[in-house]
Amino acid sequence: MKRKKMSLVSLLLVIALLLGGCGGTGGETGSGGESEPVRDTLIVGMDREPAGLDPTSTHVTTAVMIFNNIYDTLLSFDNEMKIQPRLAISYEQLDDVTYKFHLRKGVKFHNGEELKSSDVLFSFKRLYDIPAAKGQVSMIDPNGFECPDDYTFVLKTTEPWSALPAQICSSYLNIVSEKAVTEAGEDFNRNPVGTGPFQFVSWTAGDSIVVERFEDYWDEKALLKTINFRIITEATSRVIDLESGGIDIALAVGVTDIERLRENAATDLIQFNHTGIRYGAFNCSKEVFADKRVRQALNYATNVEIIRDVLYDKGIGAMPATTSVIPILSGRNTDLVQYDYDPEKAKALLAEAGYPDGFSVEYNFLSNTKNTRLGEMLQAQWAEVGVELVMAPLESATLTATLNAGEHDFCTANSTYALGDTIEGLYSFYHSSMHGTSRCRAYLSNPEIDALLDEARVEKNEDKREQLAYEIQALVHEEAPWIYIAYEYYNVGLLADVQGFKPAPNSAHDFSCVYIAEK
Amino acid sequence: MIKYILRRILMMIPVMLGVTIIVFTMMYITPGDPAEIILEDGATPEAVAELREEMGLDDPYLVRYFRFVSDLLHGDLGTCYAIGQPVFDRLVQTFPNTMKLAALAVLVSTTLGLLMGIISAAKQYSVFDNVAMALAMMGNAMPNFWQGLLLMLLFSLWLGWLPASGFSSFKHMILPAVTMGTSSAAIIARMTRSSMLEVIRADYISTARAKGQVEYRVILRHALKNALIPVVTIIGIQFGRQLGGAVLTESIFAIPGVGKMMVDAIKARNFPVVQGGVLMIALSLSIVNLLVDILYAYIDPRIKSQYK
Amino acid sequence: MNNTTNTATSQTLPVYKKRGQGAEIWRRFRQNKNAMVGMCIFLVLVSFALFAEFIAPYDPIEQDLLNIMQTPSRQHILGTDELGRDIFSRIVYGSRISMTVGLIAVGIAFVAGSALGVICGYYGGILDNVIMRFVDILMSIPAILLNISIVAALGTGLQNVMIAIGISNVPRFCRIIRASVMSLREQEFVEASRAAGAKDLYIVMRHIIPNCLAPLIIQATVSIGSSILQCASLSFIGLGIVPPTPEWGAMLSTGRDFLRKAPHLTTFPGLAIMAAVYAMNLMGDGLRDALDPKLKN
Repeated sequence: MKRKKMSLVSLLLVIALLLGGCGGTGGETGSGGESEPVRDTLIVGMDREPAGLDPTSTHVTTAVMIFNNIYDTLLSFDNEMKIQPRLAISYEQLDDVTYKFHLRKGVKFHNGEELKSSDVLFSFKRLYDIPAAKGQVSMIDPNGFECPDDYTFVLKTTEPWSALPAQICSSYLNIVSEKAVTEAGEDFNRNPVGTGPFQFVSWTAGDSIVVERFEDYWDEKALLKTINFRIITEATSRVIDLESGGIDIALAVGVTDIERLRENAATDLIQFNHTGIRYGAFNCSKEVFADKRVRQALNYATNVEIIRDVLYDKGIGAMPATTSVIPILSGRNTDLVQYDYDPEKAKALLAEAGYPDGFSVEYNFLSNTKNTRLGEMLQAQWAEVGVELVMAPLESATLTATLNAGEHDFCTANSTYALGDTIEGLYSFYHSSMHGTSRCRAYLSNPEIDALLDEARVEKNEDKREQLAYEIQALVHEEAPWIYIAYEYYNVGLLADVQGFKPAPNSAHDFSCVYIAEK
Repeated sequence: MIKYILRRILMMIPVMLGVTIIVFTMMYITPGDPAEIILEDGATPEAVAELREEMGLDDPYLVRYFRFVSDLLHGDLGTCYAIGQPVFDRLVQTFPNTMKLAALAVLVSTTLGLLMGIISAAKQYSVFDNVAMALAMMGNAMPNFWQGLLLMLLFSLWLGWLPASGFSSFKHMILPAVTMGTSSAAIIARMTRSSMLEVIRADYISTARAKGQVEYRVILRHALKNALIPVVTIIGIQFGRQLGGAVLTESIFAIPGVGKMMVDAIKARNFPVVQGGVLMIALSLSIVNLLVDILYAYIDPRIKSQYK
Repeated sequence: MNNTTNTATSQTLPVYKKRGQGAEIWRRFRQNKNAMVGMCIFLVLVSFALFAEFIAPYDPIEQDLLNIMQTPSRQHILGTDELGRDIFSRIVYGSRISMTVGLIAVGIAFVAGSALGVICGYYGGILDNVIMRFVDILMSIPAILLNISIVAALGTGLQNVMIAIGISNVPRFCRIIRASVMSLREQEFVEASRAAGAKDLYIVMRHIIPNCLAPLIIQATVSIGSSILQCASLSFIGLGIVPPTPEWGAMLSTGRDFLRKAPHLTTFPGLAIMAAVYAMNLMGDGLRDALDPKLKN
């Protein structure tokens, strides 16, 4: 009997203690934060956890962002997508296929080693052994590398290739320390060593990645002492956490939160042109979509304007897309206009193509709010012209398999120009040799477009390339393998005292000049 | 008693083996290719084939299963496909968080449930009885993820009392634990109430009352003790439910726990993590059930005699 | 309460006489105010499901893209959703989906669980041991993980969601009926029937099943509620029912992206789910009291 009572009392005691404890810790952290005039730790809420911190492991946006702060590439894009020197102070093209890079001297890795051309060579060569990264160096000759001295690096492309400088900026080609990689082996993925403004501190899987200022950085030292990249996958939670002051920056803010964050005095919202385009892709290798009239018909049957109004809150979250080249890139064909919304014309074209009574196709998608709404609207609009769109949501892994195998009828995607190069982007979207890869969802096979792409890929003259890009876009428009939905903005929410954040269109945001202003 | 416990522990072995077979088979038949997911955009057919080969994914079912089991017997749970970390390390990082969360949630639900149950029983048919039971049931009927978001809005954003997400201090644990705990308080409250009512009507309570003991003492000393027996079982079952409930709660509150890790792993066909995680959850559930049975015997000596 | 087994459900139900038993239970059930409240809610939802065409003022999938996320008004009493569809109509039609999911998932669990449970309890021995270990295995994997894996394996969609939820509910039914059958097996009237040369199947159908229905019905009632919740959880993970089917869980899950801007998108489907689960729980409690006279207060 007594024991029972005792245990009840102790239970209550435990609860009281726990509650008391909570009050205590809360008070301490609160006052700790206030007593210091300026915080030098930034907390960033990310939508997705990187698969690794080895630059060859992944290129999801959040990983590219962290890589950019831990590592450096030889060349890199600035915020206008212009190529700038970084670890290489300059480069020259020796002949059609040979490039020579002059490396910066006195650059230190986080482990204290100095950057040598051997590290650069190592960083390039290792890609050939990694299945996920191999494609990045497919145009570079594995036997063409040379290191004439510690600060010069020479490489050759397999054939003339004008996008090489852009490829050098790729996050896969971040320069790693040969010594660190050799010593760490597989563990390098969780213990990265680069030359960037921040060095790696810790990674708690599923929770956070912490980096701190690298005092021996070759360029101007970072202003912040520590950055804590926290993984908060739920968009709603991420924004609530920002608004309640739990995090300083929330990445990938949804369209519905834009206005509120703008109006709130305690928060800011930065919106920028992402290097991505959202579109729907017809699988041209399927019988029904082999005929371009059918693809055109469905373009006519789609009221993209109203879809955009609904999905992006009347233009707050995106801008109209008229071609597959994003506005920030050169060679964009500005003469093109979106197909009109004209159901009658759509019906006529369908009848002409032999489908007077329409047909039924499946829409394979990942079940999230955006895809679902988009699909539901397309379903309703296409029904008007007799085309039945069957919603077939797939779970992510199955979807990837289905799309890579080309088994889908119709899908939607948001594709980015990872290389930041117009021709390379178009090539990956529409060239028939790219079938089965992740950017090529339309399975277009058009010899004319193929030929123009091949030609543009080796063309050195910038004006000529732009001219070719122009022609290709016009042809693609006629072929209509895609329905352009929008160029989406990328939204970043910040607390009002976070300053100096400059968004990069390719997601490689630089945190070295970010600081927290005094209140 | 010792013998009984040993036998129960031995019984866990075939069950755990069964769990490995089921999980392994389910993952095997599920469409989707981990190699494709690892390769992301670099997934050309050749690269996929090469990686599959490297990962041993092309081996026949039995070969893969026996490799998994033999590694397991050597204490190796494999390596996470996604971040290349040993699965064991990932479990060491995530499991304590989920256990803490589940334990706190059980504490919340038991405290709430017992309190509401006792008072409801003592004041049967009063306004309090009805209101308490109705509230408890509401908590049970509310989808967890919605409740979590609403609590977050209220306590983090509007009141500013508690942090919205993360799991770095006790303060961070309160909202998720309450979210999970309230969903099962109703079951405990109902159980406590009905078994208390049953006991209260029993003869020895009347005797105690007749002897002039004060009402609350009657309830606490006599009624509660006997009423606790079925409640303890329920608490054990609750623990299992909480481990499951942690899945969504961890997503909402960005908690690095097993549940969230498992969902991500199933989606990414991260087989080693799925297998290791399920095994770990199953094992801990079996242990909790065993503990409940032991506790049960402790509370009610009559049951002890059955444990042979 | 019977202390010979670990399960807390009432195993030693008196064997009632056929006639009058139902009426007696109904009388007790009717006296329970909470249970009646639950039943009223349940009947409302059932009538939504049956007569959705007549009750819903709009087509549940008819979009009005110019009037999205409108707050409740005279035209749309619960407002419009993220594609301008009438939320009230969607909830009314959604009742049909949720009730279907609940009934069929629980039906699967009920039939499969009872069959396994009867085999275990009636025959015992090795078969019992094997099946019960299998049930132990299923029970040691949290239901939601089981659901996710099954849906991942079979693909999304209403049918597979129901199968997944059904399977994850099997163990509970199996355990309950096994315990009842074991205690019934040795009862005199069963022995008598066996002595009279009755076949096993006859004994099971005639004597065993009818006498262990009570705990099953209680479990089934409560499980319908929890199935609706499970279905909502699957929607949250993105493995639910195919849009544009109006399903409460999917509405709630989609609505959470608009939680701040248009809270009514989550409030009403959320309340619908709560009402349904609440009703099933109240009825389950009422049935428990009505079927187990020992607990009659």
